[in-house]
Amino acid sequence: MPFELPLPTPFKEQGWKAKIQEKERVEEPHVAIIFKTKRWRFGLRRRTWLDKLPKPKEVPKDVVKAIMDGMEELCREWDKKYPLNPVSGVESEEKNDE
Amino acid sequence: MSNTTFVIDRPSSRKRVSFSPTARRLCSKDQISGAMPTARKGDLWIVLARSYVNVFLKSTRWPVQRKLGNLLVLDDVPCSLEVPLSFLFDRIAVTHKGATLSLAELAEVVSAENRGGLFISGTVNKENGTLTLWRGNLTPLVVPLSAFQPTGNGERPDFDRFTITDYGQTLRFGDYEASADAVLYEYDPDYRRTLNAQRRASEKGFGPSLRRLRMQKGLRQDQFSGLSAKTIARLERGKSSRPRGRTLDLLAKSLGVKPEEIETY
Repeated sequence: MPFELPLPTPFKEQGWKAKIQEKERVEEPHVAIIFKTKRWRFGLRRRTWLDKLPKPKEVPKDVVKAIMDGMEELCREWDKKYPLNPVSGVESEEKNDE
Repeated sequence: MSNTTFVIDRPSSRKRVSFSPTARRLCSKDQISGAMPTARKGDLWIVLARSYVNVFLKSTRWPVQRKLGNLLVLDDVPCSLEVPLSFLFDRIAVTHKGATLSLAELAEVVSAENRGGLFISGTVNKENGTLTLWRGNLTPLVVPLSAFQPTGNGERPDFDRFTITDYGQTLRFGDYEASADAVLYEYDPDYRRTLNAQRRASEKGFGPSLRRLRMQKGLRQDQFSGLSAKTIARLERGKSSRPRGRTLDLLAKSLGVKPEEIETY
């Protein structure tokens, strides 16, 4: 079953969803934000948008806040689904950036 | 001039759906034959009632001079009609079997800019282990069922419970969900090329160029003579200002290129 992060009621009612599904592009761990025909990917490692399009600014700030607030849970859920590509499993060289 | 969507339905249908503002609802044989001469390449005909499919063939003057656009039939159509219809339409999708988006979502998907990346219908064939999918632009995609592997926490797809949701963005097999994006990225080279081109365009700048070149050269971040791995990491992420002078020379030397060439990668 996909993990769906609870979003504030008005956005949920409008159809906004934040999900980690069973089959995703895994090249960078992310949560997918879905609204009608659009989809945004928010990276769980760098905590930034992974794609320029659709424009991230189209996502309401309260939805982004809910994602940031739920980051720990999202990372945990990603790791459960994709243990071979965990959020913490950055290639060793990237640790140099810490 | 944008393309027109023609929605063919019975006059008594209760399933009235708001398609795009350019959509025309046709509820009689006369309306259909009247609309045919106005059709252009790229137009979409959505047939909700199979009894009207024959109208296309009866109203056609053979040989066909020009095609009417694309045809989406959401009802059972005899196989014998598919060949003659193929003379009238560029693409035909008959989606009465398997899973299809709800009409309300279908209406949005067929007029969405990214309709080529959204699925409107699909059929699981367990005998040959494939899933045939139709996109919003009526192009098909065939995916092996083996594409849907169990997750780390043991979630498995149930191919007997296949549905399409989230405006064509999600393929659902029971409790298992696959994103259309992931499926297309894996099985449609054109989709992948388009996304990668967008990504490359968005990754301009010294850092991304340095990283691409380093990867191409097969170097680790700790293999730059005179520069620490931490410095390389910060440059690649754009967390340090653009290097100059000695730093730039050291980078170029380790990479085996001229300093001014780094940013061209």
